[in-house]
Amino acid sequence: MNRAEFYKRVAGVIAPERLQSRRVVVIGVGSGGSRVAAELARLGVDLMLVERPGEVLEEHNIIRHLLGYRSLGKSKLFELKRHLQNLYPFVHLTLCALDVVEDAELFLSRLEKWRPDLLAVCTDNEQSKHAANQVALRLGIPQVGAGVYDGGIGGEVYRVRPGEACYGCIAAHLQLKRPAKQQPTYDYNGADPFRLQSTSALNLDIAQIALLQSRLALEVLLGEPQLTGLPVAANLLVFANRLVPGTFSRPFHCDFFSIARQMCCLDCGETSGNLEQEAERIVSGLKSVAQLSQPCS
Amino acid sequence: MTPSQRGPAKNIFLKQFSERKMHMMTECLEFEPIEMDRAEELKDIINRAGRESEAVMIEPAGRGITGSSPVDLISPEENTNALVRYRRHY
Repeated sequence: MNRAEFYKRVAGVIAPERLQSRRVVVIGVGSGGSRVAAELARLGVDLMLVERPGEVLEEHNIIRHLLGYRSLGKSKLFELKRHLQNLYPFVHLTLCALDVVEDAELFLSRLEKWRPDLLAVCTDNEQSKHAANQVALRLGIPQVGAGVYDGGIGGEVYRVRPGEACYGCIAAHLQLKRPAKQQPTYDYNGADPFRLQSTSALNLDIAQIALLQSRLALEVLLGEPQLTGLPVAANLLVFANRLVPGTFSRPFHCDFFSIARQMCCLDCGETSGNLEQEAERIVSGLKSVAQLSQPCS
Repeated sequence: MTPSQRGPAKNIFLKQFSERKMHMMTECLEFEPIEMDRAEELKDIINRAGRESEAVMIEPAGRGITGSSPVDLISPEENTNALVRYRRHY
């Protein structure tokens, strides 16, 4: 491989040597995450790819995934590794098969050792986004995450920097429901809503949002707004893939928002660090109320 | 099923139905025809919401339809948040 020739067409736009030693954890390597991983790998960013154990590429994935029929039935992690090495042979890849919700402590310890510069949150459910958020908060790592709306009508990309509004704050503002951890159930009659994680969307609907996420991730790594010029205060962007009456009045339009940190946030708020103390305070308060309400003998 | 078997089952059903009816009677208001002033108010609210692409505000436990409000993509109010109805996927 001739590095000078390889980077010839990006010269002047980006200095790849500034990204060589940067480390990003890509959580989820589905249709969104695989693209984010590819964009970062091309530029030489070291990647840790995280996916649930046993995830293989299924036929219904192919129409929207970076991988194709050659990878059918094979591990998404290993196949994506092969694909990324084909894009940039010197890419440093670490594969991590774990569930960030079920194995949160293990995930935390892996990140403590690997010391990433950024988490790219590319999962498709709220539980895993909050799990990633909590680990990022504990380790003080910035995050860039994304999601595509039902039907692929558009999507959102968020950016979290340590000390500012976290994903919990953003999700609370957006009224996103945080489902409680579910025990595995066997439903033979219909779809389990907690397992129903994907819906119809075109490949290009997802790719559009994934590329925006990749751009924002690169900007965080470079530490300067040279790739977007996005104001520092903006931590959420909403992109309309198409016109939807009542929701998006303009196609191909992006809105930028600055969501403030919320003191009552369950992830980063005032009481999040000492939940046990808070629980004790509430229990003791209830006990005192119970004593006061007892009839005098 | 013999008639003797059907009898008790029917009785249980009737008992449950009457309990439910009593419960409903304590929870719900009697139906009354809408007054003209209120009908005009509702017509104005709904027409304005349609014309201005606003969300109709409803208080289920109160007056019902109370007015309309501009829809905002990321409004912190669930009623006026245009994106709240969409789930996120990736």
